[in-house]
Amino acid sequence: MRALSALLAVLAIVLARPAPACEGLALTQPWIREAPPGAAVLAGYARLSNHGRKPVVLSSFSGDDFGSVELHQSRMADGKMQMRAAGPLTIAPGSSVELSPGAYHLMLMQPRRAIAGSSRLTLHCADGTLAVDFPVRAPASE
Amino acid sequence: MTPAKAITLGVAAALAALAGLVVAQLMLTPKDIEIASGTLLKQPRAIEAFQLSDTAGAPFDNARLQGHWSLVFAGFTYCPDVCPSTLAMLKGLKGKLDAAQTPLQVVFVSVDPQRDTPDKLDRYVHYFSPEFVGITGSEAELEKLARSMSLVFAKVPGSTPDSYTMDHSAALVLINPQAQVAGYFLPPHHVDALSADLQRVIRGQR
Repeated sequence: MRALSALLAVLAIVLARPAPACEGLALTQPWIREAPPGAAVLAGYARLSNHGRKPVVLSSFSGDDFGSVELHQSRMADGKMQMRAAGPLTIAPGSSVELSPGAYHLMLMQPRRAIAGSSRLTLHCADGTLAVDFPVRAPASE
Repeated sequence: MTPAKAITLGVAAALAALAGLVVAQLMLTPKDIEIASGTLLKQPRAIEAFQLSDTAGAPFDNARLQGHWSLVFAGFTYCPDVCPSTLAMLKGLKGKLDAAQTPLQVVFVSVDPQRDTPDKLDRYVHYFSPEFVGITGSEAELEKLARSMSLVFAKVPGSTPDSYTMDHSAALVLINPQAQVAGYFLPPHHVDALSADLQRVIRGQR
């Protein structure tokens, strides 16, 4: 009887907890590049790791401080710098994707306020959303 | 063949091979002057007359490149990733060159005059350094400058009419005090290598 009630208690805790959104996804080292005053566009970076057993698909991004947030990729081609919107981002189980200067980045457009301190951005996955505070700072190497 | 003869032959063959290698090295010496972080043109190239404006509204033409070394970088302010990285790197470079008493004018040319008003460009460029010069102008004048400097740029549509992006050359263009193209630096840019090369070139007045 005692064992049963203990089991029920554990079950209640497990069931009460909302299902983890973006299951397996860990977002670390988030930051937004400090931008010139009045900048119309900023860039956000982070490391995205999938510790789960299923692929994580990030379909879109958003943030209350911005009119629009898109995943973009900078790359060099034929001596030219190009920046392109990148489609849904799939992170395979056990792998990581780096959003870093000169590569993938979150394109933060139409800021609704002067972005200082930090800004909360939301990642949209198949099973929900994950909101993370991105601190604003100058790049470490600069 | 006696063992002694065989050894002599072997040594002779090795010496011949070595001599061949040395000659090949000499013949392969490049024509342009190689520096660690870029290429200097053996023959500097003149820049066609152009007329742009700086962010204070003053004319920026060939005369503004006369009498000092300049480093020109093309970009646009709606570029939140690569352009700030390059400008921050240039800020570091300028600091090193200033400390070494090596004067250099850093020029950021916006290839996006449609969105980059002088005011916007001013705030953007001077956030990195009050000494940097931001310039832009009509598309026709930008084309002229780009052609002379072998730079390319092109508008690429985005999801909305306002969210287009610009493809642009990643090279930094070195201009000599005669207002001619003296060389190019290609990414990835490394501050220390650039600083060493520029000190050598500018001090040598090559």
